[in-house]
Amino acid sequence: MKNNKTLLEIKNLHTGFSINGQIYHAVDDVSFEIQEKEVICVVGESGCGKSVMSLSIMQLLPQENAKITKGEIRFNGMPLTNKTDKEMNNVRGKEISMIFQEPMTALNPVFTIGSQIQEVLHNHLDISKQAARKKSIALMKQVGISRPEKVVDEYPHQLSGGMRQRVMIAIAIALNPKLLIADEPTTALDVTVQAQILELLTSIQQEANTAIMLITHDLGVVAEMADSVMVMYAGQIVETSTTVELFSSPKHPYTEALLHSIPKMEEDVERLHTIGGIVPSLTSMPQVGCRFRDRCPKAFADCRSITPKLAPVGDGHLARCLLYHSCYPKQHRTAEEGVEK
Amino acid sequence: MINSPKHLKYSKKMSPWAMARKKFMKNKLAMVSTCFLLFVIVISFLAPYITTTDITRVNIGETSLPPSSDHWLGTDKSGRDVYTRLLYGGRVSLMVGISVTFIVISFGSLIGSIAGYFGGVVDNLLMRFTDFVLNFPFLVFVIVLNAILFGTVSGVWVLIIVISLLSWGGTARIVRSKILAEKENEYIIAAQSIGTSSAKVIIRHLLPNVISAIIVQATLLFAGMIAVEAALSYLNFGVPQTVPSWGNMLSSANEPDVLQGKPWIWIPPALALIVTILSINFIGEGLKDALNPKSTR
Repeated sequence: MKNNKTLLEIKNLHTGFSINGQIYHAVDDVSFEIQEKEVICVVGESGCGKSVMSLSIMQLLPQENAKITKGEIRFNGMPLTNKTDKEMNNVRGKEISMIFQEPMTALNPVFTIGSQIQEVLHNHLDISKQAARKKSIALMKQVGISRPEKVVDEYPHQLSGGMRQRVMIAIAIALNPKLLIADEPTTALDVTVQAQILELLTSIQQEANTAIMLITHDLGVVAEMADSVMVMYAGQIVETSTTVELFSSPKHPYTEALLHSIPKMEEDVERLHTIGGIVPSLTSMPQVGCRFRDRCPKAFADCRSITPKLAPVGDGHLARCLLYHSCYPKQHRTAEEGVEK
Repeated sequence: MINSPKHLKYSKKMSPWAMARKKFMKNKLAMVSTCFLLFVIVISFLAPYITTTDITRVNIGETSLPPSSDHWLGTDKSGRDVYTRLLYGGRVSLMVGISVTFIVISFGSLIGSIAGYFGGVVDNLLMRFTDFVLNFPFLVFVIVLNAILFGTVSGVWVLIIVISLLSWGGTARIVRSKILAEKENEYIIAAQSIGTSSAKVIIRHLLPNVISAIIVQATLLFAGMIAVEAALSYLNFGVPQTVPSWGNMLSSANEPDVLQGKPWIWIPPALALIVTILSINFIGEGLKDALNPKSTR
């Protein structure tokens, strides 16, 4: 999927939250690109800055306390960061659209399904009511909602979770956006519905040539969908590579740990593997050194004092870990004796 | 839903509004109150067609007459027909109540929703201004403003404007707090993510979801404002004496002679006030239950 045109380019993005007058970065120096038609997955635990990053792209951060403090977001070559809210409204829903985690709350309970799909059409097109209604029914058919002529006049509480997520997708793809940001679209759904929704997303991606940025913490979803993967930890990208490469040879200890915590069929263990500890909170983020060190099984003394950089570890494969900095002797890379807690 | 009574079965097909309507219809007290209030409103506004007696005519020969076939509810100390004045008085009291409620709800919702939605500096400025207005001593200000505005605006409207100017703060606060809670819902960010402008998000998405609180607040305000009008008119700071209102009619009861010996002068407006305010409050209660999806009463 390489050699395509770059669709979205993010450079040194810093998004900060101001807490008690001080700014803490929930997204800290993130740079990446999304090519046209590419499916990129962003993986990481809760609190890693995945959602904040997607809201930064849409410029929909909570106005009171969050701000992009530094960095650039370019979509199709045009910078988004210095656009006014009005200008952004022309991009939102038309060029970039978003699917949310909770289909239960992402639809307005007091309006019919039809009127919510038609809203995006009325926002961006000069379209008559009848035409919008027809188009909304067609969209529902496209996302696999049975009897759309009925559903168009129903209210969100009458639909199941899977149906609602399909409605959300219908709204998101209504105007054939070039980029679809899906923020954990399957987390709130049960497993069989998850598979259907992922299938639907794949078919949309192939038919409409939409690039998809899929935020998830389900590595199964990643394996199924993604062309490339970005692993985030505590607001930073810790590893990025193609999907095949990442699953076959993960480099960063965090990625390894994530992969290790997937339950395996052939393995019979008493307790599932977990990663001990939690992601450090914004206010207790270590300023120097590796942010994963306290939970890392391979951490050694220098992890406290030297901040690792995102460095190439293979073809198109980057990792943020001291183990792969060339100045460190080989033995550290497998060293277990260097563990410091 | 274990305790939900059997008669409250709602089809899944119903819109939230249809469900609320059904629930409201089931509430007998609220329905009776609604009928009564409608009745009061209709006869008050049809007063000129119901009675032909001149309300301002003073008849020295017929002062303080007890109820008779000529004067159903007697006459007051100036010889004016109490029944006629009661009908016309309802007109003024209800008009003050409705107009003030309408102005206060519109303005309060506007300020509250802008403050709640935008937050930050805007919120701070608007809410401090609201606090400022809420801090005015009500009675003193009504009296002063009434004196200043008197003559520039005609009769009842002075009072309506003055009360409205001082009363929107509570509504603004309530709407703001509701909007603050409501805007955290994902459908708001979903609406923004498809390029909906701020004004449209507030009007189309936020207000319909907080309208139940606004409606309930409106009924309480309505009842409260009728009482405020009566109180001010009783103190002779309300509508001018030439215009009959329930409060005006009550003010003659401050003479011991009338209070003890001539109950027909003050009991009709007092009863009308009490029953009207009660029925509005019952309607408010009914609406609160009907619009609250969690209540099964």
